Amino acid sequence: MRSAAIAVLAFATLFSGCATRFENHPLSAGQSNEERRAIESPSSDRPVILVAISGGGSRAAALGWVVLRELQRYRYASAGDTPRPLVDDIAVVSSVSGGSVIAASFALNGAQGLDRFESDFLTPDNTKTLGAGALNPLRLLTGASRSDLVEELFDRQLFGGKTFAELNRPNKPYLVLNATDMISGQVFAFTPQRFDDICSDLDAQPISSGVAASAAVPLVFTPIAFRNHSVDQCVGRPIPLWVTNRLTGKYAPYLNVDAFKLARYSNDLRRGQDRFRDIDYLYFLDGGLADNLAIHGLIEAISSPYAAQIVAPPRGTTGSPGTLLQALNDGRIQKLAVVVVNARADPKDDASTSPERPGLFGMINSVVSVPIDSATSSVGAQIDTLLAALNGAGGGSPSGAVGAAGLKVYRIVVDFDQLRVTDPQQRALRDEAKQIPTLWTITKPNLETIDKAGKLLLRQHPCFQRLLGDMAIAADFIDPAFARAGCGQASDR
Amino acid sequence: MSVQYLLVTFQEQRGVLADGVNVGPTNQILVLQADEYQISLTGTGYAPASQDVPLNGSSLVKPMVIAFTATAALEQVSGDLTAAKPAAKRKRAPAERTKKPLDDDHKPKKTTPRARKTPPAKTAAKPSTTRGKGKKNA
Repeated sequence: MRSAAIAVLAFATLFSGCATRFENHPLSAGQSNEERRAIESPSSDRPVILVAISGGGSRAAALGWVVLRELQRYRYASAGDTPRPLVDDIAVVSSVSGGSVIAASFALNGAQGLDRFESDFLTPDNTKTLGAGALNPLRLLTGASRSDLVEELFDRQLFGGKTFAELNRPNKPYLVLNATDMISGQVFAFTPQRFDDICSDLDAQPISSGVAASAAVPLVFTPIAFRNHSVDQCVGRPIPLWVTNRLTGKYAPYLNVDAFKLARYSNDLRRGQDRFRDIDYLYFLDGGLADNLAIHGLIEAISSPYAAQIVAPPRGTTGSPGTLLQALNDGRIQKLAVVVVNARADPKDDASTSPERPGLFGMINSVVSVPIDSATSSVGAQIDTLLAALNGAGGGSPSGAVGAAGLKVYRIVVDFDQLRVTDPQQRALRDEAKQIPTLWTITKPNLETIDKAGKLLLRQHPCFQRLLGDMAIAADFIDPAFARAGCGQASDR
Repeated sequence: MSVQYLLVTFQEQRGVLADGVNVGPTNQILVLQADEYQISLTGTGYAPASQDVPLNGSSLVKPMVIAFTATAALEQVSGDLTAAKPAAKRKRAPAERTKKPLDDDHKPKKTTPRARKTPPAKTAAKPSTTRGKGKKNA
């Protein structure tokens, strides 16, 4: 009996995963992915808030949850309405990996769903559930992959089998779940535009598959597999003008090589002319490999003319929605808050105090984490540059009227490293937070640590204080002089 | 990624299109990523039809300036609209008659409540009718 069981296990292990399950569905003939989200046209009395939530398993999901709850807590007087919570002004949420769990849950259920996220996802021992599933011989026989287990877990506890059609509705925030295309290394965002590129129906896609793709940690989980339906569907559709212009432009590759590569990737996926590579299938790994802060999604949403058109036209006018960039240049956005939630851990490593040369595992760890940190730092610098430029535009120009004149920019980074090293309690809190492991489980004491650290980080951030002050939201922790000096605005001068 | 500044001048407020996408109004300094854009305007009655702009090397103080001019048809319409006789019937320029009705996205936008300044005359570049010309740093 025992040998039979071992034989079944061995057989199942050997053959599981042999058959690739492609998880996406083709668009019907002549169909494209419609963008139905249209956030209310901004007004001077309301901020536009963009949030990026990093990877880091349940630690990241928990930190994102704490930050969103804080944004729910603070409310401002809004004309004719009951006090409006800041969380209702979130226009875009971009995420990777563990951050995608809370981001998708928030996009689906709104602020009302934040209260039950703790019991639905943070409290249960998800690692144990996944482990039990992985060792189930019956499951192995079905060929289900480790990533299938994660999708089932997400569906059971959070998404109930719902698809992206539930997210793509007016007044929903624009959710950007980011995965990494493991062949090209490009960020693959689960957005209508990107799904048009692969001629695939985003509305039919389960939310759980997007979150699982965004969180498919290499080696631990199997890549999520997609078929590029542009190979045999959507034949003859035109390539977007911006793609063609990037690829054929005389200067484009020199002036903005990132945009050029994005256009090239789009052209490859669409099977356009002069392809760089043929892409028949896509395999997705954790979005953190390309950008562990999920900032790409925000940079594109803020600064690309070709980003999703999600801003409703001004009140009292008719017309199509426009981009955030257009609304910024129109002067309709007067307060832009960008909240970057970085849940990066940094467990102590004895190697730096040991005379012994690091072994294989130490090197593997460095080979994986050092490039991720480096790429993340580079993207972080890009958004800093962008926000500084927008802040500067808010101050106007002697050379003429500036569309974005008067704009205030609040760059709010929430990072355990910002806990004050000179304060022994904060230093201890930082050390505790950075030791929390990257798992799909978080213990109650660790959750309390994240809660304490997240609230403190947000409340002592000068730009968060400044935002609250500018919105006339009272809070006893606001130090106006600190907020003004630490969150300078060109429009002040 | 670097951020650049573009000022598109025209005699009235229109939407500025970068590769066919509205990025903001004319006569205002706009923020855009450095890149090569095909710039045109919403609506009709302007020339040149589009300009290929390698947008780089600008600053808030010295934005890149692109000029569009009204075609005869638009000027005729403008003249009619400002005519002294209130009851004067508006003539439609031949070019306009042949156009389909504009969709909402291509109608001239209403001026927002915030006061819009017109750029100083010195920033307006010499208009050009050839693609790729008519731009300079102010």
